[in-house]
Amino acid sequence: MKVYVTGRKGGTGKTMVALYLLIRLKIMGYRVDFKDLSDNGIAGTYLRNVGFRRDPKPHFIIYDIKPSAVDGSQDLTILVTELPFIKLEQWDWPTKKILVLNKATPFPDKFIRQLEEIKTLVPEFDSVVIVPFNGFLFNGELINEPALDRLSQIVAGKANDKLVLPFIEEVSRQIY
Amino acid sequence: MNTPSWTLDRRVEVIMDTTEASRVFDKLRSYKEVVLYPLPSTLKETLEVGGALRESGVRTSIEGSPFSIEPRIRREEMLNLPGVALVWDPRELTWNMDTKVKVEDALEPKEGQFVIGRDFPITDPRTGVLAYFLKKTTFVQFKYQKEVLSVGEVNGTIRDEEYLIRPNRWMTDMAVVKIKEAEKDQVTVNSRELFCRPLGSVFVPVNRKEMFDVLIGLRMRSSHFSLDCIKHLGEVR
Repeated sequence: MKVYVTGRKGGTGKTMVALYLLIRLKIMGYRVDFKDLSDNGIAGTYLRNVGFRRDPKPHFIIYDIKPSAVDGSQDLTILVTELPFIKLEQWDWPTKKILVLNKATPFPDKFIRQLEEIKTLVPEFDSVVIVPFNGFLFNGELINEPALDRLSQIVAGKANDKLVLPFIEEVSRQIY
Repeated sequence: MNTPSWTLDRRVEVIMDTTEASRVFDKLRSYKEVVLYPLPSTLKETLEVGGALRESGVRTSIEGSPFSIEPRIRREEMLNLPGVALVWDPRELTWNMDTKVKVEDALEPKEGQFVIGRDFPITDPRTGVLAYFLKKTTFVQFKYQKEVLSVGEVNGTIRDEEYLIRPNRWMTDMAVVKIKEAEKDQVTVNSRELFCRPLGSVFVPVNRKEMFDVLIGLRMRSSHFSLDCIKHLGEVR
């Protein structure tokens, strides 16, 4: 399955989401390949530094891809942005599509107001995933984000949430 | 604590008419679902029992708020805080912290260490770590209810702070409550916000910049409430 991770606005976390997805899908036991077709090349450099090896027979190929390179051959498109920049984006691909709204405000009163706007976007996508502002991700550590764990499950066909909020009770790692 | 008013399928409803929070917690921790009803004067104990139950995986509701547990998001790597020492004195049920967050023991504090329980005037490690990180010592503890509002006593000074925050026991996520009114020695918040995600009774007041400083510096997230709770708060219909 070809998965394109894209978005027009820079700095919203496309590369981070693409890499997180790569890591989680591998942890879930899938064979995953990665292609960096972005302008910044950050993911490619990161993967070379950690010794990532290409997989010749992957279940998933994750592309970190700029919008102008999206060619319609993908099976799934993941649009990554932040809510204030959603107006800069287009999502008219004829594929399955997921919206990832990254760095959601940590202030509950503002978040609840923003949810009203997010609700209007939900019918436009197969899934909408809201990722909270997360200090681990901000510092480049690709761990401890249950909303992105759930995104990985959706991509793998193990979940089909229409809307994923930051508060997720059934964290997969939890054992009480 | 009154005898449970009814039980069905391991659910129990409890009127919190006691201040013996530990005894209540011990009796309730084996239930599947617990509903707590505070008296105006037992708000602190209700928040402590509710927080401890949720962090133990018991689905808990306070005064009709939607049931929830606290997601267990544990750090994969140790958070070492060598500049912090703790006077171990767990007076409240939620005055604990996961072992993945390492602070020193304050029996023999090193010079220059920030001692939770001395430099921060209560022995709550979670808010103590925030206080150390933000270099402030003000805290708020909720004590009683006044109609639909909850009243917290301020120990210190409220300046430009707009929110109260309290971390979960894993120091990876937090409850955030907006301050409705702040006076000299007390703050009020909407009780429904406080009851949607109870994690204990002690909070640190923060302004917007301090909130981001905590999230980035201590590597935490702020995940708000469940959708049921957001609906309950009446903002999303």
